[in-house]
Amino acid sequence: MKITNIEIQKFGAWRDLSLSLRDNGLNVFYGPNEAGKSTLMRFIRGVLYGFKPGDTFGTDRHNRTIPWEGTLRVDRDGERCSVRRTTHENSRGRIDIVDAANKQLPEDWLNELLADTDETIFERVFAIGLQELQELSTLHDDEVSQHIYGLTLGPEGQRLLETQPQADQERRRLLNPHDGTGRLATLFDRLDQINAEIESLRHQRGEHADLCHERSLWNDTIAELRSRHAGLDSQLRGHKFLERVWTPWQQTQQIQRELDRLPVVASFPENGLARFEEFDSELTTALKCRDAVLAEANQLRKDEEQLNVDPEFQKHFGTVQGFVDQREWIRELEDQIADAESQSSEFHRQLDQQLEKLGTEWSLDRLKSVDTTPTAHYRLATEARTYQSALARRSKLKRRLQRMSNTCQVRMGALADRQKELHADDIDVSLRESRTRLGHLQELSSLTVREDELEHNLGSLALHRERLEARLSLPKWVYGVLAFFGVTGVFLAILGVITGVTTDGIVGTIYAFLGASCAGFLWAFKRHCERDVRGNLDQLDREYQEIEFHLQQTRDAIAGLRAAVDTPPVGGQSKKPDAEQQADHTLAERIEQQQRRVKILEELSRENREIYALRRRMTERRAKFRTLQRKASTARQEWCLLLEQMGFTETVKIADAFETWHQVLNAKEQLRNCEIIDKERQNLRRSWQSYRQRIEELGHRMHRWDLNYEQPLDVLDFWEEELKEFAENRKQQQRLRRDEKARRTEAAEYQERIDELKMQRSVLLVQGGATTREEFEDRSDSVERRIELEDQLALAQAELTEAAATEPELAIVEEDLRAYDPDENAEHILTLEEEGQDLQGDIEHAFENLGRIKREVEVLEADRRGTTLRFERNQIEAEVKAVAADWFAAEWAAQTVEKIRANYERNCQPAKLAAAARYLERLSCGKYRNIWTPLGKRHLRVDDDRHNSLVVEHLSNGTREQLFLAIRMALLDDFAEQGIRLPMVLDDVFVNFDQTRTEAAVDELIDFARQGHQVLFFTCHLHLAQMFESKGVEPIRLPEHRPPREERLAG
Amino acid sequence: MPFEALRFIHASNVYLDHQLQDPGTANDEHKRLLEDATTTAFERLIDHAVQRQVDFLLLTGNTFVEAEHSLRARVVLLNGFRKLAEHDIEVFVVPGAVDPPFAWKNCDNLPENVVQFSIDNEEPVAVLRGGHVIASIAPAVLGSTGSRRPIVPAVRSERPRGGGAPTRPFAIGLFNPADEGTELLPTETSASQSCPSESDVELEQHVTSLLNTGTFDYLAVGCHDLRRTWHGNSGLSHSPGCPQGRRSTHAGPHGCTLVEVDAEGTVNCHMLPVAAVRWVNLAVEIEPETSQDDLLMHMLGELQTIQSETVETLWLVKWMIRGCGPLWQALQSESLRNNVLEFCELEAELPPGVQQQHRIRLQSAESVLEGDHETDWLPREYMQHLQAEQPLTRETLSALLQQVDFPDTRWSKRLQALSAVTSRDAITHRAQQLGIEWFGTTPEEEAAA
Repeated sequence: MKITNIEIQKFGAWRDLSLSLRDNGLNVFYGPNEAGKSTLMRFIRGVLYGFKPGDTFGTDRHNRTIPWEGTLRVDRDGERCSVRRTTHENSRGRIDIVDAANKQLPEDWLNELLADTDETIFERVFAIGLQELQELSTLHDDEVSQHIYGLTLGPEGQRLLETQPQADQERRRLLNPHDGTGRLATLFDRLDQINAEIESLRHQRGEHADLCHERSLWNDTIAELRSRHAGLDSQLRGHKFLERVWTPWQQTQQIQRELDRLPVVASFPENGLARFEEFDSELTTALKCRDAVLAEANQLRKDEEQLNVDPEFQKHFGTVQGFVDQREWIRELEDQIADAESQSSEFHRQLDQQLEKLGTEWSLDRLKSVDTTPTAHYRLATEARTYQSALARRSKLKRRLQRMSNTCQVRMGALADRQKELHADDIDVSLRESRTRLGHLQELSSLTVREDELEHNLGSLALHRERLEARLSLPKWVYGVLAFFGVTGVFLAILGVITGVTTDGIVGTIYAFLGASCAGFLWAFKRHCERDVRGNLDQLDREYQEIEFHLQQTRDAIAGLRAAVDTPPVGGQSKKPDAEQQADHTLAERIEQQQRRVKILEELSRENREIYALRRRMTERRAKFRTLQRKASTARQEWCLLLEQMGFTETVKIADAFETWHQVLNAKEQLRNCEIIDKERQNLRRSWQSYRQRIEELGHRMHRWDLNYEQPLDVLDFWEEELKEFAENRKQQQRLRRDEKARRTEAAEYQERIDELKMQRSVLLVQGGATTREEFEDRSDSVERRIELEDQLALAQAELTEAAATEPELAIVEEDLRAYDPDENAEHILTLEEEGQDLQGDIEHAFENLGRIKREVEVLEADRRGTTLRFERNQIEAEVKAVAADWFAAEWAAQTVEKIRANYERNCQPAKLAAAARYLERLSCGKYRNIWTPLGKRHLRVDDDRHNSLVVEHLSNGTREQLFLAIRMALLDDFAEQGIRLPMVLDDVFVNFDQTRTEAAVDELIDFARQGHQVLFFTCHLHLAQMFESKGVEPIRLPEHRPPREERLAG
Repeated sequence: MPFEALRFIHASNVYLDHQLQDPGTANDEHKRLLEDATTTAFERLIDHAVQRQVDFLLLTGNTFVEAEHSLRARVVLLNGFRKLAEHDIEVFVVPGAVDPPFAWKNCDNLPENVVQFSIDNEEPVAVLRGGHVIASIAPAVLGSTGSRRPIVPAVRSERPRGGGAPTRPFAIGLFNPADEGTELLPTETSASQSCPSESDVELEQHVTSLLNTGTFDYLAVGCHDLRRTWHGNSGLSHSPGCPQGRRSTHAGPHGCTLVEVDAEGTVNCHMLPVAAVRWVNLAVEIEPETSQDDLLMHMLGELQTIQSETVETLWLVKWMIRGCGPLWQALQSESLRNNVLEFCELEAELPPGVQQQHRIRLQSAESVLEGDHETDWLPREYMQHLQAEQPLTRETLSALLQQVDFPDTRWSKRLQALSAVTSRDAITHRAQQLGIEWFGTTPEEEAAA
């Protein structure tokens, strides 16, 4: 959109202003302060977007009834219209839009005109004054900044942006040196702790050495104490030895003296007195026992004699017991007999039933005569199989023959029907005729095509000839020339005749000759022009005749073929009249019809051949069937013969025969069972009878006449009771006899013992050299005392020897023993023992200390803390290395990402900033070359020609305004690319530029306008207006006006 | 000239009670094994000496770490020496970088069977058997002449008791590369190797020059973590390595060396495995089309190829999975890595009695670093920046630290120190991984694209 005219009826200080703008894009408005430049800018914005209260409020206090209004005439792509806005209460003004034809346009049209550009953007980008230019915040509005920084960083920028927190997090996870957190810090803390603990264990070796030294000292002490203790122990042992030896030595001396005083008794029996007393005592006891035992034996004899036992029963006791023992067998035998009889009757009943099933002609004798051996069964099965196989083969072949016959009949019927449909009595003949007719039709078709082609050629030649003949007519001018020459020739000829006649013959001749020449020229020229065409016409005539000849030949051939194909077929195909046939079918249809017929006939021919082959196979199989029929008859005869031989009823049904066979087999089995059970029953009955007779005989032998021997089991029950009674008595009798016998044997043994004791007592008295008991007792006392003393002497001597053996290194002489004083020795022992106890206490104390030290040493040596801590330290050190590697990697990666990001920020900025950088470079005369923003931030940074990166706040005012102007120019470029072309209105924005950069800015603005942008530049500086003027841009001087002082707003 | 047949054990770098570096997260049982690894190895070494009735034990440096002041190390050491003393087995000790002479002097109660060498005392020591010398042991110093052999009194040719040709003592030299002017570090924590400045080439040159003097029949090299043998004109030199690998670079079986010398002077060195803990480093390459099952089968197959020693009770298996593709990306998930390791622990058919502890480290294929991001500008740019910094040096890391705003110098110093010991590969890998996390596309996104 471009503004072509500004018309203000009333707005601010302006009244009835009309400004026409130039077409070159750049319009510089010059006017002094308070000339109304800013008001004009507000007017433009107000007309386009609506008046703001600030624009109209407080103005025209004297005449509020007159509305403010003005018109902008605009041109949009050649379409002109005018936009008028009039202030209206409670709104931003009423708008009227009319086109060039003064036609009212809707309000929406204004939005289209502005390309939906937001008012904020217009105020901050398109229409700016010095104030907007200086404020950075005007570029940070969301909508504006979106246009500057771009809606997105791009996928790479986004990823770079996302990477930074990840990298920071990774680094912080591993180590945050500022607050000493992170895995590495934790590990180092633990490492320090372990090192401290290890350091605290450093004294262990010193402690161990001290303890070992102390241990050796205590070992020495113990050794010394042990040495002293050993000396004391040696003295004590001496005294104790003397004490121990002296007592048995003294006893020996006393016993020896008493022995010398006792009389000597030779060969006194050993323990003689005791033995004598023992014999006496035993003898008395034996006598008493013998008498008592004999009394018991007599009493037992009497008791036995009182028991009563039947002698006959006792005689046959074994036999009775045998029968009683067999009682259960007898009972089972009776049960078996009953079972056998029951079974026998059941078997006979079943046999009768089976005979009934076999039929009345079957008797037991016939049944017995039938051969049911496995051989017979095998023969029967073999013959049945043979017979059955013959029948099956025959049936199978018969079925197959039947199927073939049916198939053959069906196919023949179908063939006949189709023959009938095709009217083909003979298929082969019809096929040959059809093929011939098809050939004729095809040839006729090709000839027809040929005829059409030749006719077409003839037509073409005729047409060509007509065209050539048309070419014989020359152009009109030729005919004009020819007419001229003709008329001239006639005229000259006439003139020559007249002249020759009237004036001069020669002259007349010449005229006539000239006339003849004209006529000759006329004829020669015409012939020359028609020469080629005529040659072609001759050639065409020849070709025409030739084609006509071929066409005639073709038509003759067609006529011949039509006659042939219209002839009715011999095979019986129905004939239709030619006209009707041709009306019904075209040639192509007839060919197709014939082809179908040929195809059908070929199929029928193939079917015919197959039916013939089928019938031939049927004939062969019928012969085979007859052979099988004969074999089946033979097998049936043999089968019947076999049945007869085996005693069965003759039948051709194999299943019946086998069923009869099975019934006979079952009946025979039943018969055999009957025979077996009858035989078994008889045997059982015989056994039972024999047993009963034997019982009766035994009862009679035992004089038991009143028992019922027909019921042997009752007899046996009675006998069993008797047996029990008899066994009880007999058992009692045996026990009494056994006891009596034992008593008598015991009495005899006592008697023998009594005799023996008497004999021994006599022998003992003789051995003791005594005759009486008193004498024997005196001699016994002497002997016992001697033995006692001798034993005491031996004991004392053994004790002495033992004592001497315990201390082999000590030797004692008799003088010492004689001089021995027990009290004095005991006192020595007591003293030495006390000293020994003291030493032992010292040793134990030393051992306790040694044990304590050893335990401490063991505890120290077993202490694994150092090992464990060093192991853990190594583990942590390894982990520290691993985590440090991770940290270095994270730091390296982060710094690498930072480098990539820095490159990306400088080299991969949004296109608008790149364009702005180009504008800035020109506006700043090459001082500043790059504008960029850190990733993810909306801070502008500018790189100067020394590659210093500066933030906006560090730029000078003029440079900052140049930067913002450059950015806005870049934005306008971007808007223009999007199809949004709105005028740029600048209100004295160069005031802070120095001379050089002002010139550069003017040049840049002129270039910018040349690119198609409309720029309205307002200035109150004359030098600026002159500078534009010097660059070829004539400034528009705003007209002076003198509005009331209180109404001034502009400036 | 014939020798008296003799047999001794040579061990070095025992590092008693020194803890293994970065064995990974261990359960209580494994932790106990790991803590006792070096002491267990030493005790087994002593047991071998007793069982095989050796003439003496040679400990050539770094037997314990004095800086750690470990009481346990000293106790185990003294117990071992006392056990040898009970069996009349002498011990010849050479101080090393981490167990300097003063540390041995501070050892009270050293049994009488222990003989300590020092740099100051170059006098040879005779090893006696039945009253006559069977071997002489002396420190070997570069630049010294071969005139040391006559110094030993017993070097006089002696006639054996049973007659026959006279014999001479078997000459053993003790060479500790750390003694040759190498700046020794007080603890292994700050040193990546025992002999950091001794490159293999220099070591070989030194050993060869010492062997070529003809002074020694056997040159015992100490303070070297790797097991190596150098053959010279008149003898051989041998480094037994460390009896227990202390870090993942010490992969494979470890132990001491049983040296047997026959009457002809032929020296045979046999390794006696004593290390209870074995480091196993396995690498697996995965392609983009590799599936998880393929990976698991491959890992199991790799495990099956390892020959085990009977003394080993724990394997520290460190997997390096290198490659790219969906599976490699999925392995960034700890849960999946744990699943893989769990599968390995369950399915691996290890020798009986051997426990296992697995770890996985991922390394991206070159293609990831070089940038396979034809369409995406950002990851390509990122990877190109990383690539431009390769190879990553300490200076690069220092420059990195200078860019960081530290509130005080404490953390900058700590990180500066860590920059020297931190794995550059790990840093590069993690930085790449971060790039993939930040800029890479997930498989879903790739599918959507």
